[in-house]
Amino acid sequence: MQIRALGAADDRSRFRSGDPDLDRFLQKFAAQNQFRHYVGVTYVAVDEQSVLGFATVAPGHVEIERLPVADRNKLPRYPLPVLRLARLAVDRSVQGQGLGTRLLRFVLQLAERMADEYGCSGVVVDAKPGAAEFYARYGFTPVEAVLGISEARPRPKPMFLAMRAIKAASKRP
Amino acid sequence: MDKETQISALVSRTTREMLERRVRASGVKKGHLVEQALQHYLLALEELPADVIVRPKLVVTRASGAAILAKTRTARPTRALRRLMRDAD
Repeated sequence: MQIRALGAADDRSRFRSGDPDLDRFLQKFAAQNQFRHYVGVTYVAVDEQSVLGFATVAPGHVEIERLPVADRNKLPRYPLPVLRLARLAVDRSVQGQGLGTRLLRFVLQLAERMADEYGCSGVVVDAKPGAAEFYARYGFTPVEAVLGISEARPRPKPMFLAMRAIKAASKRP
Repeated sequence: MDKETQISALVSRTTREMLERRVRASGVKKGHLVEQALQHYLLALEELPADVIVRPKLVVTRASGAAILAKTRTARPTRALRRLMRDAD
C-alpha cells in the first residue's frame, strides 16, 4: 500500500467510506479540483488499483479579525501560512486498521516539507463533528472562525495544530 | 468585447497588497487582473459546488488568533502526536 497524489486514471468509483459527501467528493470533484482548477490536491492510499483512503489538502492562510488600535502592535498583521486539510476518509473495508492515522501522518509530513521550503505555521483541519475527538488526540485545538469556514454539511469545525508541535514530535529523543 | 462597467468592493489590506504586488510584477492593468481573477473564480464555482471548494483564507476571532499565536510559540506535542510521527521510521 502506498500514499501518493491522485492520478487521473485512478478508479475511484468503488470507494465507500460510509459518508456519502466524502464519497461524492472523491468520485466527482477531487480530480476536477486537482487537474482543472488547481485548487487542491488529493493524496490517495492505494493497494493494487483500489483507493482505500484519501486526504485532500490545499495551502491557505489564517488571519485575525480586525483588531482595536491598542492591540494592533501585540499581534502580527501578516497572515499565517497554513496547510489546510479539507477532507480525510477511509474505505469501509479497511476502517479501524490505522489507515486514517497514516494519512494524517502523511499530511503532517507534507506540512513539514512546506514549512522547510516556503513557510507553514501549522495545519488547519476542517473536522467533521464526529472527527473532532480524533484530531484533538493529536493536539489540534478548535478555533472560532468568522470567515472562510467550509460550506460542507454538517458544518465542519476548524482546528489548528502548530508546526512547532509537529516538528518537536518528529525529532528523535 | 463587452462594454465595461465599474464595480466597487471593500477588500482586506492583505488582498490589496497582494493585488498591487502582482500588478507591479506583471505589468497588467489592475482592472484586467481583477476581471480575470473573478472570471476564474466564478467559472470554477459554476463547475464545483461551493461545499467542495477549500477556502484559502480563514479569518479567526481575536481570542482564537491570540491562542493560535501562542501555540506557534509554545506548543508541545501530545503523546499521540509523538507516537504518530515517530512511527514513520
